[in-house]
Amino acid sequence: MKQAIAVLQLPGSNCEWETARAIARAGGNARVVRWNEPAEVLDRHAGYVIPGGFAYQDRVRAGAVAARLPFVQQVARRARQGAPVLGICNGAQVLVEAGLVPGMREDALDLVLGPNRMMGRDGYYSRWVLLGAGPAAERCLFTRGVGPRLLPIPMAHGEGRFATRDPIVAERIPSYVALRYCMPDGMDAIEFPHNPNGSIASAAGITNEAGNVLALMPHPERAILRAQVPEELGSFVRGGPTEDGPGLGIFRAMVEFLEEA
Amino acid sequence: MSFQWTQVLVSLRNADPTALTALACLRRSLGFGERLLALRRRVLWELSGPAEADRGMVIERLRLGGELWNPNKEQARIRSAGEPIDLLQLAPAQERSWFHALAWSPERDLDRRPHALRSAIDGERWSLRRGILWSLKIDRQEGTEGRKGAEEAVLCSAPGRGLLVHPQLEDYRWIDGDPSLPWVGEGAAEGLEL
Repeated sequence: MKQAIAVLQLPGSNCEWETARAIARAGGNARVVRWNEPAEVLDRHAGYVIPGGFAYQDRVRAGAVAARLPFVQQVARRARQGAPVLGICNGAQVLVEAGLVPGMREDALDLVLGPNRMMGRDGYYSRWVLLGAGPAAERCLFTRGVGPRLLPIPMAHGEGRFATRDPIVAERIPSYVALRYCMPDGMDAIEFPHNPNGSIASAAGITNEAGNVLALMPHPERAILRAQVPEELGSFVRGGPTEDGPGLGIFRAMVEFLEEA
Repeated sequence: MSFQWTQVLVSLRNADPTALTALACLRRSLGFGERLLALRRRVLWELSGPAEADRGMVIERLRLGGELWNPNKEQARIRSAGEPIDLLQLAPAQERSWFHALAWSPERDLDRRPHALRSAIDGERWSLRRGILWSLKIDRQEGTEGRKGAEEAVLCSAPGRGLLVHPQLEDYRWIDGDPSLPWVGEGAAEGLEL
C-alpha cells in the first residue's frame, strides 16, 4: 500500500481538496487531516502538505498562529526526522514562521514572508509567473526534476516576499533557493511584475539544508493540467489540454520519493 | 525645516479578534497559561508635517477623511505635540500589571494610504508611520518578573518562542505611559512620505 500523505486542513485553509486531488493525480495517496484531530494521527503519514488559504485569518502575521500549534509542531518534528514537507502559499508562511526553512539556526528565525513590494500598488496580487530551478533545486526532493525548463505557475498572495534583515542570512540564502522567479528568457526576475513581491534572491521557493522541506509561494496545485495554463504561456508547456500541467511534477517528485523510501 | 507631530491611537469598538487569537495562542501553544491575563492591540499612527500647518484643520480632516480609521467600528484618540493627553487611559493601579510594546516596520514604501491621506489634508509634505501597540497584562502573583514574561510573549526570538513581533520584519520598544511624540525620534520620523 502506498504511504499516505497528509494534507493539513487548518482553520482558514482553502486549497486542501485541490491539493489532495493534485497528489492523487501524481499517483499518491492523500488524506485531508483536520487540525483538531489528535496530533498522533500525523505519525501514520509519511509526508505532509500544508496548503494555501488564510489560516486563522492571517491574524498577527500570515502563518504565525498556525505555526505555533502543537499539531504543526508535530509536522516540524517529522520534518526534522526527514519526512517530506511541502508548504504552499499560506503553508509556506507557516513553514517560515515555524523556522523550518531555511533552518540555518535553531535559536533564531532566519526569514520572514513580508508584505509584497510592488511598484505603484500594495496588498494582495495574483498572476501567472515563470519559475525556474534555483541553486538548491537538485538538493530539494521536490524540484530535482525541474531541469532547465521554465514552469508557468499561478501566484496569489499579499505577504509573499522572502526577506531578512540579517546580512549573514542574506548572503547565504541563494543557496537555499529551490525555485526562483524568472524572466521569459530564464534570467532571474528582479523587478515587478515578473518577481511579483520583491523577494530576496528572486526566491519563489526555499528549501532547508536537507532538501526535504519546501516553502513555495506560487500554487502548483492550480497548474496540474495543461488546460489550466493560459494561452499566452503555451510556449512554455507541451502536450494537449488533458495532459499533465507544469505544477504536477512537484507532487510527483514527492510521491516518487516516498515510493523509493 | 521644523515639524509638528500628531498621533492617532485607533482601537476597535468591539472585541479585537486578532488580540483574542493571539492571547489564545500565547496561553495554549506557547505555555503562558493563565499568567497572561489580557492582551490588547491598537494601531498607532504618527503624522509629521510642516510646523506652520493649522493643527485644528489637520485633525478635522483626519476625522472626516476615513483613511486611518472607520468610525463605524473603530474609535480614535488624537493628540498633538505639547498636549498632555493620557493616550492609553490607564488607571495608576492598573499600570503595574500592564506592559506596552510598540512595534513598527522600518520599511517605508509598502503602504499607499499616505498618498490618499496627503491629498485629504492639504497636499503639503506630510509623513506617516504606522505602529502596532501591544498591551499585555501579566499576573505578578505567578512569581515571574512581569517584564521578562512580556518580552517572551512579544519577541519571536526562536522557532516556537514569542509571537507578536518578528525580528526580521519589525522593530519594537517598550512604552512606559504614553508613547513619546515622535516615538522614534526626529531623525527617523520621516516615515512614509505623504
